[in-house]
Amino acid sequence: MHRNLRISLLLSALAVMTACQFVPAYQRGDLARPEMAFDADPLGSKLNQHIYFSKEASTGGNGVAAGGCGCN
Amino acid sequence: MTLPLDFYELDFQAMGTACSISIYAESSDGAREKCEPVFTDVARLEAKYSRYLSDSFLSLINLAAKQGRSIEVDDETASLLDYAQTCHAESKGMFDITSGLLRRAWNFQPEGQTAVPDAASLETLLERVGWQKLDWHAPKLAFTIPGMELDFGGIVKEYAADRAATLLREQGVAHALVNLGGDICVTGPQADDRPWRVAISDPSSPTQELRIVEVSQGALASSGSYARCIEIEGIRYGHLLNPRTGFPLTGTLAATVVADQCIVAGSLATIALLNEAGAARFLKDAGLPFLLVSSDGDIDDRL
Amino acid sequence: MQLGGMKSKTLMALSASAVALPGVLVSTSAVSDTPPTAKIISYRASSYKEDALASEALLAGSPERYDIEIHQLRYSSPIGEKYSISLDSSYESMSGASPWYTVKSANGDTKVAMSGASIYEKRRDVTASVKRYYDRGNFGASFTISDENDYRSNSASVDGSFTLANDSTTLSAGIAHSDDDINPTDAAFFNRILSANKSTTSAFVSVTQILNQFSIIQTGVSSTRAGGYLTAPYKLSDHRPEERNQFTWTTSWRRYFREQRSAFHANYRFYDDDFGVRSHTIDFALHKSFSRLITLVPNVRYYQQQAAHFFTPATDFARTMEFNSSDYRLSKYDALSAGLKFNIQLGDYTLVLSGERYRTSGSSNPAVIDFTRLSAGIDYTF
Repeated sequence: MHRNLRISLLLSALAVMTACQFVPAYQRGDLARPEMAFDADPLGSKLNQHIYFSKEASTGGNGVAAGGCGCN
Repeated sequence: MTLPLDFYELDFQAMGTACSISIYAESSDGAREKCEPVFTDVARLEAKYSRYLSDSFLSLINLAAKQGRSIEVDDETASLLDYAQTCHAESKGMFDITSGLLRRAWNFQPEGQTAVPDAASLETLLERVGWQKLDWHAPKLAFTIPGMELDFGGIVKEYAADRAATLLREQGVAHALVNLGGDICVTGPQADDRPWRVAISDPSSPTQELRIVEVSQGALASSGSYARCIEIEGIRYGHLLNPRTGFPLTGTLAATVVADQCIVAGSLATIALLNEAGAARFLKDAGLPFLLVSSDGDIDDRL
Repeated sequence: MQLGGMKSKTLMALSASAVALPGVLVSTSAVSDTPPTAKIISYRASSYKEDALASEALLAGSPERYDIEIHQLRYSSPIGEKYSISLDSSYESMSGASPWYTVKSANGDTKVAMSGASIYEKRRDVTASVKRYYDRGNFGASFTISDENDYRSNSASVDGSFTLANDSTTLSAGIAHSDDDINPTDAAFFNRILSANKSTTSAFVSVTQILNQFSIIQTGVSSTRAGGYLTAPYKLSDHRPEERNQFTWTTSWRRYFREQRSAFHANYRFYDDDFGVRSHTIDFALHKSFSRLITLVPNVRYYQQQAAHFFTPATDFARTMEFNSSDYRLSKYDALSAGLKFNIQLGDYTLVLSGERYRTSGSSNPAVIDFTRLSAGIDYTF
């Protein structure tokens, strides 16, 4: 588990340090589009996470956990 | 290491009015070089959308309009038509780029005509006015009845000012103010981070200053009668016409609005005037700084 | 990351239309964190239907799997200039049979015995969240209660975000805790545990980075510990450890293509736990705008998991293993799903229609499910 964590953190840091350009506020129009959000459809994601939680053995990876249910 | 910046002001004539760019640059040549793309773009927009040039794209559109045909438009024109549509919707149909035709019934000169046009001539014109009478589905603009006419005059100058600011920013200009006949857009504050100081003039005597506004970001635009207004039986009217009645509007003479984009500031100012007595409430709801001058001289200053 | 706040619908409409003009940009004001500008009410109705168990795999009971109807309602609103709240609730009604135990038949195939009667169950949940916005970040708290006749879960979480001085990197972190009470139905009759408790704590950290004016990436890790009764009470001879440690690493990328008016989404999640389940999930979606009012979102997802180390395809009645489960959800398998979502904006309302088809393969337990989901909903912005 700890080895996984270290490797993941290293890969994450490398991913983040790749070609980043500073984008001034007035050029952030496209990034601010609703379809560019990390969670563009909250109800849809909530439903998907609930279904995959019930039917698969993996959970999480979506920020904070929202509680359980008897479905798993 | 960047060189110190000096202040330059470049004046030019475009879109029928006096224009200028106030810019902080490293040299006079540098300033001119950075402003060239703006001069080119403003001239391009004037050539494309001018009512007065018979070979402009707008004239081509209006030829199709006169004949009741349809015409395919490019992406830029499509976006402007969509913007005009949004203004039409947000003003409950009062902001209407097909209403330019109504000016034929009136004679907006400094001296002005004193007589009100007859009902019959207004009626014929009103039949050919109305955004809802267009069939607009990008990229095709279709005129279902012949004899209509489009006028982008209410939005192109502000659009040009926004584009001018973008063209300057893209070249790294962080301290410039573009002024196209009173439609203003800035790329940032003055070189020492002080705001630009913009003078708003009195609509009844344009050489008189009403108020100084400090602008560090965004845009400022005004709508209303400065050079063109008429007086009928002692009542002063502006040059904006009600697209439903064909009569000039009353109540508010001029509006100035500050917004992030010049085109938005200008449209809000115009829609405010179209709301006549309801101008102040409309602009308060919009939540932006504004100044209104009513026809009886009252000033509502919320800048 | 939110850009400057706007207050009125008219202003929002004009501004949106203005920035669609070529060469007109969003404001020059500095990036600051502000609440969303509009109130939104959303409703979704969904129908989830699992394919029936293949007849050759059925040992006993009904082959009809779950049929679930879900209704979701959400209200979110800014409160003043610095706060926002959201309230979510959902209601599920479920019917159908589920796998009870498995046996290896004479010719080596695994056959599944399904629970006899078709169960009919309802579940309700409610979540309340609040967020406080600061100049460079935000802080939030959330509470959820989920209730059904045999399971009750209460959970709470807090999370925060902070944007660095470069205005391009955001750090986020959060912790959550959940406390669940399990009271299986017909416990005494079927010799199930009468009452049990499960407790889960998790934490995450993530980094979000703007790469360029069209591209943004987010990567994060989370760690979860679940303790207590982790066994599946309705499956025969199912016995799982009383502790489970889980780890995830997720990376997400969003990229906008102006010419195509499309936003591309890619997500990858690595999962590992001490049950032995290790999985990879990768999904892609393309949000394509046709005209300003219509958006189509095709999406595809690939999931692959390893089996839990105590998983056996046939139920271990003899209790030869200390921990054992033949639950198909702990087997090794992979799943591919494809879906399509359609959004159309009509004034203040947005109509949403979507569907998904999910298919599994490669499992030693034939009870692994395939399902179809259809959803329809509406968003009202005011």
